[in-house]
Amino acid sequence: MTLTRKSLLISLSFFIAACGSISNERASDASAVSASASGAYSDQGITSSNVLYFAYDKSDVDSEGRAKIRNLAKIINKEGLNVRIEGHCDERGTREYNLALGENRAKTVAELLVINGVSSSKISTVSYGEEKPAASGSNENSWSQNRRALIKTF
Amino acid sequence: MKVLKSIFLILLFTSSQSTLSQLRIEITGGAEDPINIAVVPIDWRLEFPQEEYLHEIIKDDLESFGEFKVLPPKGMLSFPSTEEEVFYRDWRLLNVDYLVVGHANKSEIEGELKISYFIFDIARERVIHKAIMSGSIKSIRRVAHNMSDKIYDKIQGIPGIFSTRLAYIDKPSADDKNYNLRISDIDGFNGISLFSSPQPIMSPNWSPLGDRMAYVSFEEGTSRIFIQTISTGTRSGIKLEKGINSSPNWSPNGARLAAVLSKEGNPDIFLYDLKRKNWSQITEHFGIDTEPDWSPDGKSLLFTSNRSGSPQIYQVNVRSKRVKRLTFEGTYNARARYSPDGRSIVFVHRRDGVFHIATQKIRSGKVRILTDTSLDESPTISPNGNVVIYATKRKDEDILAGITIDGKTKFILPSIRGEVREPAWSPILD
Amino acid sequence: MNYLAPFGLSCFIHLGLILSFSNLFNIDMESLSLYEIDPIPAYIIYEQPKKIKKNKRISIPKEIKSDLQEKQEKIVISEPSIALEEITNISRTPEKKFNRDVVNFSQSEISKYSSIIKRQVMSQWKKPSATTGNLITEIRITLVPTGEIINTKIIKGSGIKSFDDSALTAIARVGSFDDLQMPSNLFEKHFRQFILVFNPNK
Repeated sequence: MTLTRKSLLISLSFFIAACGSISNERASDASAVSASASGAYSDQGITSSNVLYFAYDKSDVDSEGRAKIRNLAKIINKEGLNVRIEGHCDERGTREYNLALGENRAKTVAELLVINGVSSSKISTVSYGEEKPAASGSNENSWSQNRRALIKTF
Repeated sequence: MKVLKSIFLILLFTSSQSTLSQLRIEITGGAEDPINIAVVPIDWRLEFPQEEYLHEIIKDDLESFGEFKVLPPKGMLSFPSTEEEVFYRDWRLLNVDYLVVGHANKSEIEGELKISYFIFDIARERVIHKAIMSGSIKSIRRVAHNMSDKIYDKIQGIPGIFSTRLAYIDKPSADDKNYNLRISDIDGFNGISLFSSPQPIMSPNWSPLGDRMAYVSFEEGTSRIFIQTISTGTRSGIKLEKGINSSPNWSPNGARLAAVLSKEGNPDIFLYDLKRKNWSQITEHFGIDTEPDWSPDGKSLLFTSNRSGSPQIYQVNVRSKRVKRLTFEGTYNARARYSPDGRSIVFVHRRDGVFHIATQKIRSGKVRILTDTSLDESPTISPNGNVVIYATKRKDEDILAGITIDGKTKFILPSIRGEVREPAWSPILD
Repeated sequence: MNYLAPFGLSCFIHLGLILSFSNLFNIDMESLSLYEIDPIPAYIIYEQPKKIKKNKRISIPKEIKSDLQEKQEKIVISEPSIALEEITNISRTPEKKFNRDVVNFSQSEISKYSSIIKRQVMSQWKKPSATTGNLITEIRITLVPTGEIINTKIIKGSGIKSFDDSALTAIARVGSFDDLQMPSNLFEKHFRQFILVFNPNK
């Protein structure tokens, strides 16, 4: 976290200095800030990434998904891995509501892992709602690819 | 005597009409046409030439929402700049309803100019407003917008919003790999990036004075609420809790933020006290409670909840925590915003699988769909309650569109390039 | 010399003048009238019967009075034709020989000219955006027989200046009503002075 904070502060000061170069009427009353990529939730050190898909507006996992989770649980426990589950939605509906739906999906998968013997202390969940789609396009083909949970092991 | 009697009687009968009762005629509506207004090019009495023309900026402002039709200079018979030079008949012939004339002079203050202007009601042949405005020569656009606001206010009876700004988020593109939180004048000019990040940014929300912005940033890998001072760029994250930290919404007195935390197991509405830096819980339900919006009187919050089975709009009294359901039509109603008078709401409503922006007078329960576009979301209302801007899609691209609250004028925001989303209208800025 | 005749004449002339301006001197002409008062035709609408001053009340024959009192609540002040539809069973007395100021006009005539006026005002009224809530403005119009508006007076404002102003502006834009040629006694009775009720919420 300290690394993130430091890089944040550095980029902050850099951009405050740079804002003088923005030539428009409002330059004096607004300042730009930038953030660099955070290390905390990056995909660094990832050993595997599995994906489960969901039906529209649903967070329940089908039998195929359950089988995947069962297998994954075995590997996770065997190798003492950490797990991070990311919940995602398709673009339909409002963004904040989708953030909550994404969390439902991530939590459902987490519960299934726990049922399959993974310690909950090894599991973290995060929701990205509709903010990080896998496919762009406003059609069912793209949407079905975006309604997913990613299980990342470290 | 007979003669006298008849004279008496004749004179008796010339009594005036008694007006015991009068006919009443109801005028139930007006002309649908826009108001015809002429803005005469402001007489520029300074040494250096003007870079931008006030009357052109005012023309663009007033014509934004279909309420006015502005006469271009080539249609004018004369170019008055003072009260004495106005001949009402000339303008009546041009079918002009209102007239604006003025002149710009040097100010005693360095870098400033003074504009004396007059607004005339041509039919009633009178001045309805006159003022002297000062402004920075470098900010001619701001001066023009202030004049547009005043003209609009005097004729329409509600404040103009031409000096307001819009915040929005643009997503990574070929030219820029970052998400950007941007603000610009409401006409799209003077756009600037407030915050730039390779991770998603969501839910921008203006403070009541327009000096700060709250928003959600995923820069730390998970959702966290940040507050940034617009003029300085100083920002700080508020106390991070486990799970979702999102949907910040500033209280009218600026002391608290309503937001969503899922730390108690599921998303609920919480309040963050900016001074004490602590959270307090407002809703407690095992379903999803999200998207809070403060009422203008600061007493209640709107929020979206699926506690009845699917997303609907509810209202909670901040003090008593009593919850009341507001929407009953359809199976998806979300992301509600109060109108500035607190009497109606604007929200996302799904009908036949299509997401529209709709409005409803709070207690009536009757939904009125505003938009005919689809995949509509994030409605934001102008501070005078007259216009709604929202995010939608056109040919698979994220764009911002707008509609007047009476549904009559629709527009797309053209001056914003790239794929943009989550518009947030600033309050009236001084 | 007989001073009585010219003196008497002078008295009568002065009395006549005083009576002509009876309104000014607040003299109640009706009570001095030598002729029987005809009943008021049913279509004249008393919009605020409580405000009628005592000394100006006309004596209404009993059967019409009770009917009128019954109907007063229900009478919606809009087109006279609508009011008339509700008052179907009140009899009208036939025209008297002397039609001083009580003449029978058909409801269709009144509503015909009311519509003409309404249409012309509506076409000139640019309603301001500030029409939230129930804004109503009442303006009294005085015309001359050519249709020209010679006086306007707000008798009940809406509370919102721009709304009131927009109504006055609409009237100013009309300036003079077209197509209002009508019998002069109809004009005197109803159209020399009337009230425009600006109510967009109907």
